[in-house]
Amino acid sequence: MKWQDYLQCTLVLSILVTACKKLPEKKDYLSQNANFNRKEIYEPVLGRTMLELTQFSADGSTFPMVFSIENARDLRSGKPAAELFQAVKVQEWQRDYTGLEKSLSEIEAKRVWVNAPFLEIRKGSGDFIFRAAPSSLIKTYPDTGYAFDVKIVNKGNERILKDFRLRPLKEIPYEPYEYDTYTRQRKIETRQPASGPVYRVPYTIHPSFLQKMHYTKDSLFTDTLVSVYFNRASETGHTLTFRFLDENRNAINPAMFNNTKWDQLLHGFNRRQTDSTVVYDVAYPIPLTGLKTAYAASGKAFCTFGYSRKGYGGVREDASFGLNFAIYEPGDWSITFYFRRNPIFNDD
Amino acid sequence: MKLYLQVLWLFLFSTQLVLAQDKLIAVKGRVVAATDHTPLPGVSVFLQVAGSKPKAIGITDGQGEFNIRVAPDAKLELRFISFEPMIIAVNNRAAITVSLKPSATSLKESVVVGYQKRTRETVTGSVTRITAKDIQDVPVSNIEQLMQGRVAGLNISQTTGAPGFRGSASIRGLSQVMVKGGGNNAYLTPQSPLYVIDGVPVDANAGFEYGFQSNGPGTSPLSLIPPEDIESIDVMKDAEATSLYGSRGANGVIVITTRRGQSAVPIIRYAGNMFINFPPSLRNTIGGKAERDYRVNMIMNTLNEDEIHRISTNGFLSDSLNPFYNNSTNWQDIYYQVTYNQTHNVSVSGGDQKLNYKTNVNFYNERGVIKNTGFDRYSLNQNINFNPNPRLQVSGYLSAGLGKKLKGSGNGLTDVGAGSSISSSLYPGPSYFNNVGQFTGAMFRKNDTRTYDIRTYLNIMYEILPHLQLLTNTSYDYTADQEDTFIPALANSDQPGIYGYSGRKNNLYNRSAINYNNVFKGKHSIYAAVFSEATIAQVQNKVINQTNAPNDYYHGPLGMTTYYSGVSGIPVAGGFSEVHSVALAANISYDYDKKYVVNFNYRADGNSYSGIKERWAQSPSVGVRYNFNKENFLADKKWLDFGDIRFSYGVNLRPTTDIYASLGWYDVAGNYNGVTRVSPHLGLMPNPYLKPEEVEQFNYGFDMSIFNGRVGLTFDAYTKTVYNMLYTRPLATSTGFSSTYTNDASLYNYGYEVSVTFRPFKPTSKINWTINLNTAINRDVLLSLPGQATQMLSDDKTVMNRVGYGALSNYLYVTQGVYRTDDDVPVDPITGYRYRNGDNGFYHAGDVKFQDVNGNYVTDETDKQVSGTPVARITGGFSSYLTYKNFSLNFNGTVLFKRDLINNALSERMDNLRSPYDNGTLVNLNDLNYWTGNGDVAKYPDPYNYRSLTNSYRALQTLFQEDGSFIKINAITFGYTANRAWSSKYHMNALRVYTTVTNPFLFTGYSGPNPESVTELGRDRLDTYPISRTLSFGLNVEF
Repeated sequence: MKWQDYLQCTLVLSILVTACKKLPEKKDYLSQNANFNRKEIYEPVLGRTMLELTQFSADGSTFPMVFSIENARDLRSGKPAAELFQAVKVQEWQRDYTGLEKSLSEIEAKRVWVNAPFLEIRKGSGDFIFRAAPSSLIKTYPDTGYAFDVKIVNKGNERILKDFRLRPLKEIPYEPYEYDTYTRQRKIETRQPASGPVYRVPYTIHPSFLQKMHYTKDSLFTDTLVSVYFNRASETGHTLTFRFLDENRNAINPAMFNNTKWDQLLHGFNRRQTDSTVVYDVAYPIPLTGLKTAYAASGKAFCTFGYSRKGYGGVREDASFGLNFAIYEPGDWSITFYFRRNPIFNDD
Repeated sequence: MKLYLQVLWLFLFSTQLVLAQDKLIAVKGRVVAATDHTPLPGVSVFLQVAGSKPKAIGITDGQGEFNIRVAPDAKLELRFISFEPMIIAVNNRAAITVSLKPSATSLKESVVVGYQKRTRETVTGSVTRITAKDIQDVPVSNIEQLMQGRVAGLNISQTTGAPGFRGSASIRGLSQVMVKGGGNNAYLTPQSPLYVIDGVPVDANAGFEYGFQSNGPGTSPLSLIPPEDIESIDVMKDAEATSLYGSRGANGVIVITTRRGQSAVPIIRYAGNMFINFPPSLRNTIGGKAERDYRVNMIMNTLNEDEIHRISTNGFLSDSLNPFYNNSTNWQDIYYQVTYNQTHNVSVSGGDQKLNYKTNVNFYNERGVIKNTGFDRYSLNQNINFNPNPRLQVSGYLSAGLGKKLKGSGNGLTDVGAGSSISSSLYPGPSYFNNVGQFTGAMFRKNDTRTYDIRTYLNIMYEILPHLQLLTNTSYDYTADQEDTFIPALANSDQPGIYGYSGRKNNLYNRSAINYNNVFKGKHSIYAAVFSEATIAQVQNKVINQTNAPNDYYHGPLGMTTYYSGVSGIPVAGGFSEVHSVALAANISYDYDKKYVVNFNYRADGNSYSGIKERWAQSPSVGVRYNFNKENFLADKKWLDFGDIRFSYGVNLRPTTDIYASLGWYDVAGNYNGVTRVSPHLGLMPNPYLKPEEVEQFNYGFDMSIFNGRVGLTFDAYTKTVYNMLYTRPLATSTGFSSTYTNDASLYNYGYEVSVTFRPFKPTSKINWTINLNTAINRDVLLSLPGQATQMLSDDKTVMNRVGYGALSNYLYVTQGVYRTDDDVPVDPITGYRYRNGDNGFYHAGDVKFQDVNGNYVTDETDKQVSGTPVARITGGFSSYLTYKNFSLNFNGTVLFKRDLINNALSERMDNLRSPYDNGTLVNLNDLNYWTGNGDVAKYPDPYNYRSLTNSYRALQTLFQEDGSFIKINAITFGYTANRAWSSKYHMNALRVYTTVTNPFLFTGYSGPNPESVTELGRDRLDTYPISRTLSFGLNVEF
């Protein structure tokens, strides 16, 4: 070849090369502002399985992302906190709870026992799962608790969000609860009577609502006149007993509450009614899920009792009272309503 | 007007036939076409002069004959467009018959590049020509439709079938990725190429700045150009070819040249068409009792007391015996119609090399398949070219067009009659006042919509010294848009309404150049030019909206009162603007014996709309070409007609915004202490550093033609990078502004274009068959986004721009089928909830199954995934041109592959179906594979469960994303040309009759009506104006 040919070749090659462009890397977007909207100290209550919606704000970042917990440690000592990931035996749903199940076995068939760690992060969404671990395993308040980091990965990016705090609380077996969540001291009730000074008494549970209940011809019950007590007889059973006591702590026959829809009182089965108690076979926790059903709303079961009588002047009085509650741990539980005055069941 | 007529007379009849001949012998010649031996009128006859340019000495008349006096040994050169030039020696003959071969190779034809005519051999850029032959025979309201599928890399979509409206056109992929608007109305910034009509740049967009809410007539200037008057269309794709067109050429340039007079004997051509538009097949709706039963059943099946009670509160459901509701109206039938239309075109042309003229008169009348829509065109244009001596050329041009449009109730791209809100068949009630508003609005709205366009230029060239020419071209383009719409009281909540639009655009343009060209030693050709360009473009648009007019008979004007007037200007997007721009450009071309060609161009543009700190922008370009067939070792190869390789590089600029984007504006903001406050307009922050967008292109080309033009190939590979791409950048609220425009984004396109031509039969055969196939593959990659972001979402988070990927992606919920049974729905093991949409939309059997991307058992925004692109990756077309004796059969088509559409229309249609109480049409759903009962494997979810909160029929899911590939036959024409012997008996030069079917076939897997009539973002709207099938009968006569 002549030198001109070489020159030509070089020219053509150099032109071809100039047109080539280095294309940017194909990668996802992970915003520097992507973060958890809730990032205070997480304080899950032990003994319950719950989902903590972290409200991860992606700030336009590309999904799918993979979240993982890194460097979980005891805050004070800085040592790895292996107990957070130690498997505990818990129940998980296989099928959805609808509130329409007809028997205890039908409900139980929808759940399985699994071994899973106390703390887990949902890989795709960053929500935290806290499973029902006992406080014998996990350090609880007032211990400073744990700290951990969350790693977020999507295609081509990685970010670590540091120093999430975790300070679990001891079990609260039922709600409403008489003891303070943190100190476990008996809570104090402050009352302002219609006349007279403010007084403080140890906290007891009162009915969530109460209406048209008379203890004299012209005196209505106020909620302070009724106390509710939760009691667990054994930790392995699955029954719930309702008891009603009069001012002398004698049992009131449940049949006196003649307006009560006993079969729709709660999602329980196999009702056994005696002169002093009403017992159901139930599945714990109560309520089973946060679903709005005939028996529960907003994460609380509600039960309503009532009776009907002819009041003063021939007026029909449909008296009723009820309780919104939750029980988180299994057992043979009883709920006792203690009336500090004797309710009038007779017609006036 | 009077003056105008005078000018017309002058143009028509002031022919001059001055030919001074002083040579030795008289030669009588006849020129015929080699293929069918018909005479060719208008062939230029040149006398070859040693060492100089050939000298024009004559032109053939209507019978293809010429008479000249030349030296006995003279050599004549005959030139005619689309034919091979031929050189013949006179050899002392008194009579010569010459047959010219059609130019198979298209190499010698001249194209217009950078305002100068050049032979194709010396063009270094990528230019494709469409000739008049390709676009005849099909009556259309907009010539763009005729270019569809003709040029590799030019992607034209008929996004609407409304007469007089323009679809979309783009060259070589995406040039813009910014999406404005939202939902169905989301649109991409228009990226139309620049049209240059007879040397005058014309903005083909009309009203596009308003998106789908178009104001005024929205008639493109292209709709006012009669297709019959077009001589050729040159499509320029790469930067080198477009660089001299400057700032507006970055999206490619399309140069349209109209016909000129060529024959000494005046030629009168008539072309007429009668054509019939047929509505497309309409949807199969449910009517009358069936409709009522359908609605009532759907409600009863909910087993919900409240719902069932609602039946009795909705009269049209419960009161079936009442004649008020006892109807079964086929609404579609009322909207749609078969229409009979016509177009006529007469052109008179004549003249010789010294003076020639052409006048073309056109009338086009079309009524759309939806009532109360249509388009009429009246146009008159003429040009005159005067060369009093070889050194001076003067040409003038005047074109006047009037486009009248009927818009129905729609805005062009859409029309209610086309489907979106047709009423239930149970309506209307039996009284005048029980009308259905949207129907009355569409049918009885009175439209008087006019677009006047007057375009004129004067072009003077003077050769001041040998080889040195001065040239100036001044043009003025004035467009007036007017619309008066009257909405009768019934259609407008009992208040007659008036909409008035008045807009004007004018464009004054001048280009002045000094050209130098010379040939040294017979081999070194040099062409050099310097020119300046100046443009002033003004726009002024106004709108008035009034309601509460006195009655349906008085259509205004009404005075302004606060009671019935809502007077509004049009937002800054297009209401008023004035743009000044100046440019300086230089161009040098050199070729060595037409073998090596090199071109340098440089242009600097200063624009009033660019930021004050960045006024000037430069666009250099270079191109080289190597015609390897001129190498010695190939010169004697008979099989090779020509072959070349080309390379070009260039930068083009594109104005992107208006003056407000760089300067901002001030508002009067009320009073403070009795003093009027004037404050900066908040919202869009002005950016004084705003630059025009910069488009850099590399182009590699290869052309070859072998076996006497029987196989031709053109191949182009290119890269096209858009720098400084405009992007809206949101600002922190603390700035006081909400957003600003920046030049932060950039986009890269690369692709390949192939065009192949075959001629299976020999040129001497009686059968002449030409097949052309072309295709273009384009990929786009987004290089950067503002603020180093790697992705951005627009249109309510349904369109994603991602760096490193294709620039536009659909961002949708991923559908994975339909739940067969309740047990198929996954359950969150922690909460015990079923998979759900939002808080309460629990999925059940028959609901759609969305992919739970983030695994939280809730369908939410983060489950959306990038799932397809609305940008077509492969486009192309094909054409076949077959003649045998007097018969011809032509067809052409368009191909588009790999484009993802969203069938919003189906989603919307299902929404109607799922609203039992709403007054909408129910379309029969027998064509869908939907879920009917437990265990069903279906494609579409349960259409009856209208109370579900799962939103299973949402549009933005992959269920409705479909492949929009199609192969379309644009038109088939069958023609017959009468024997010349017969037609000349009636003193006709030529007579041709033909019949054409447009849009006869469409092959597609797409489930919607037409994958082409969708928005540029690939959304199929239910209210798209459908594309109709047309049958036309045409007649061409030449006297």
